[in-house]
Amino acid sequence: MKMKLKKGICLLLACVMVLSFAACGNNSSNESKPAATSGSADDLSNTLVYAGESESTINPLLNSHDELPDLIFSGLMKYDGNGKPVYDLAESSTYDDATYTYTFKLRKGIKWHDGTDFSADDVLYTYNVLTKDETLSSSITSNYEDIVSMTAPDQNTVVIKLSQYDAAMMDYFTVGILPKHLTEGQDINTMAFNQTPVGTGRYKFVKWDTAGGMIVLERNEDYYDKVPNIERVIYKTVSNESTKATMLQSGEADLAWLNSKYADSFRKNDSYKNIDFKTADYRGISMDFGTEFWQNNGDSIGVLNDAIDKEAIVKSVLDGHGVAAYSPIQLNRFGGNKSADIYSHDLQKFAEEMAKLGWVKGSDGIYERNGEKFHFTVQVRDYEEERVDIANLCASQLKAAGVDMEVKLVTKFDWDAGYNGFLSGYAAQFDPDMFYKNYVTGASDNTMQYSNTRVDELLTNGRHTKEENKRKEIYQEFETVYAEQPGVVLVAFLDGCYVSVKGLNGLDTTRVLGHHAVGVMWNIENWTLNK
Amino acid sequence: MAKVENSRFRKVGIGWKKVEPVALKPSLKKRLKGKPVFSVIILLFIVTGCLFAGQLANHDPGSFYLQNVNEAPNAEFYFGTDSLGRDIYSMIWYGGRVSISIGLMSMAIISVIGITYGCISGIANAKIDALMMRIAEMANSIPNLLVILLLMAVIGKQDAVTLSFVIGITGWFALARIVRSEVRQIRNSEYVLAARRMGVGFPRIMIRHLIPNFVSSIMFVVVSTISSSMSMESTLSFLGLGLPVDVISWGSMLSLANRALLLDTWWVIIIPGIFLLVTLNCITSLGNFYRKGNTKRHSNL
Repeated sequence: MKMKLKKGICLLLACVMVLSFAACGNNSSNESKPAATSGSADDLSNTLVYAGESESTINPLLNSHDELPDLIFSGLMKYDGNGKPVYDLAESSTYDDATYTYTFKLRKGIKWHDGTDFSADDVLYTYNVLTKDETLSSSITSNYEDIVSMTAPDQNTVVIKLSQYDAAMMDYFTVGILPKHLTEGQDINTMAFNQTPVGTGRYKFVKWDTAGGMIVLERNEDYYDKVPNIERVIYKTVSNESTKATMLQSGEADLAWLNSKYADSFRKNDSYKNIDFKTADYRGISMDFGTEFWQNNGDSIGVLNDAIDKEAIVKSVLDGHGVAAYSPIQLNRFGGNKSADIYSHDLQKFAEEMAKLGWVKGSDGIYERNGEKFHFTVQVRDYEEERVDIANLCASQLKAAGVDMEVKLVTKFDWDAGYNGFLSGYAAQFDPDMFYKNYVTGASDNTMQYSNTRVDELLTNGRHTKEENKRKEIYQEFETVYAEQPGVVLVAFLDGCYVSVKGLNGLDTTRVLGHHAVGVMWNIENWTLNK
Repeated sequence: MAKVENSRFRKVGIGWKKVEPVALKPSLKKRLKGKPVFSVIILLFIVTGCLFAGQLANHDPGSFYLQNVNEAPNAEFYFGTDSLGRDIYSMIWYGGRVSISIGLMSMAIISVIGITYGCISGIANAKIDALMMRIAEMANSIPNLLVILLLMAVIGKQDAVTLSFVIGITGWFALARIVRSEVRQIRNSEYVLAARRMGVGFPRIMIRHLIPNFVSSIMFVVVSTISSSMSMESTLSFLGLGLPVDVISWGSMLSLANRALLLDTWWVIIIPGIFLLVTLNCITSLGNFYRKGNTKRHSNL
């Protein structure tokens, strides 16, 4: 009897404590959002909860493949549904062929989210940071190499002069503009602004709840173009693929990008919608040429393609939602040169090629050359299940062929630990020049230190050539040259499988998405939500 | 007395039968009564299966059969395949090896540390005894999982041996306490005193005089550490903190449960789960048997 009473009291106390904590939570959220007077149930009815990747910064200069910078910031240009640049902050522009000079007329009356007026100074400031700030560690700086000078004759005009013709420049003018008055003089890489961004975009940043893992955005009522229908976006930072799927199932999220297997599990369920985008996002094994192993054995990367059954991987891991990859730009409008598809899953051919390269199988069945085993390590983040699966399958297929690829699971990419590569993903969903920064020697996103003079030449030519046909020729040649001496063992291109609740309408699949299926929110202003 | 003819008497009684007393051999049934026969048979079956994994498995447990992804149990894949086409049936036997050996290795480590520590504490004088027991109790009061995670992070390398080591060195406190109280009871027995007077070293006293006297009372704890270590292994692997995914154990198989739930492939969760559960239950009932024997002994005192 006494025991029971005690137990009862304990339970009661526990309940009281839990309730009081919950009450605290409510109070604090009410305090920070005094405007939200209606009940919380009503609030959520027009709030899109998106389960996205984990974020540490929101800055268009630093995050080149994330959804949030595109919502909060806007650039001179933006991409339309077909991936072509159209005017955004700029309302018109002229280009002078003789002097390679762009003159942008800016829209009038644009305000930053904090109420300050937007002006040409902000544009100049942002492009100055991109082109002149030596401390900026951004992967996109190589895109702006051709800019030589910028001026602002008046508050609504920006003149940008290039050193030569640049075919992709209009694309790169889509980069989000930073507010000069809030960021000038600070270290762009580490400033606090990256966690409390202020932009000119469709949504305003409200707060970042790091404990709860969510970023709250509110629509920008003063937006210069169409104001979005959906009042609020809650971006939940989850990177774990199964967590995202579970959140959708339990109603904690309204939209998420899932791997193809999890997406399939929603297909027969009427209360969800599957929205399948095409992406230009490839998965491959990127070899780090900064490590000694590939400096010695860089000639033996391409041959690995012969040992990997890419079709089988697409069928199993991706459930058929993707295609086997042979060129980094094969889905691009300039790419897709079939003669670059020089590898096929053929162990006989693999053995022959390996013999040509001077590899001999050791007693343990693993190839050796110059006293060195064909053993390399590849790091994969453990929460990216699809990549882990791809890596494991590649490793087991390579092992069967006599190559020891060791998969190292990490929670965070460690670039200093000396891993020989990582399971990578990149995309050139717009202009193929997007890969200039990845494959040209010393370029800003060439973290794996790939270097091939012919590739450098071709990609540089491609950037500076005007005629579409010529560019196509150049990029198709790039595909064949790269296939012969690759730095990445390409495995597959993924489809972008999004799953949403039934009440979410307006997603438009005409856009080809980028890495991590980014870009889904390109037309978010037209979306509607009925929960 | 005149001889009375036997025939004049009549044997009476309902259902009378002639009884010839025979020395009854206790029947097998009787001898096995109260012993966990069922558990032992199942346990033996599972352990033998794991030992002969190479013979039982009909597929390579490490291979991905990409043409047979997510197949329900069928004639070729008895227990079905997971989302990458690995054969669950073959994995069960190979995985059992790892899981059971982790249980046994941890048990060995726990026993060695726990018994030694308990014996020293039991034999030592009151001050040292108190100090040693307080240390053990304090260490025991830190949540086990926390310490294990910390140690795993420090060690870095994750394989069956390091995992057993970590589970072992964090799991001996309870055993040490029981050993110590048992030793305290027998430390002043004549044979212990005699041995000590004769200058026998501590290790020898421990092995020859102490352990044989309390082994039956700690059997229960020792046996149950096997099952607790196995479940700790699966907990850690499930959380992704134990064995790497390429090392097959029942725990690492269960770590696919989350994914299997989403993909509606029940066999990926249920089958390793059943194996783990049955094994743990068998071990527990074995431990219980020792515990019962132990309590009886005390009541007979």
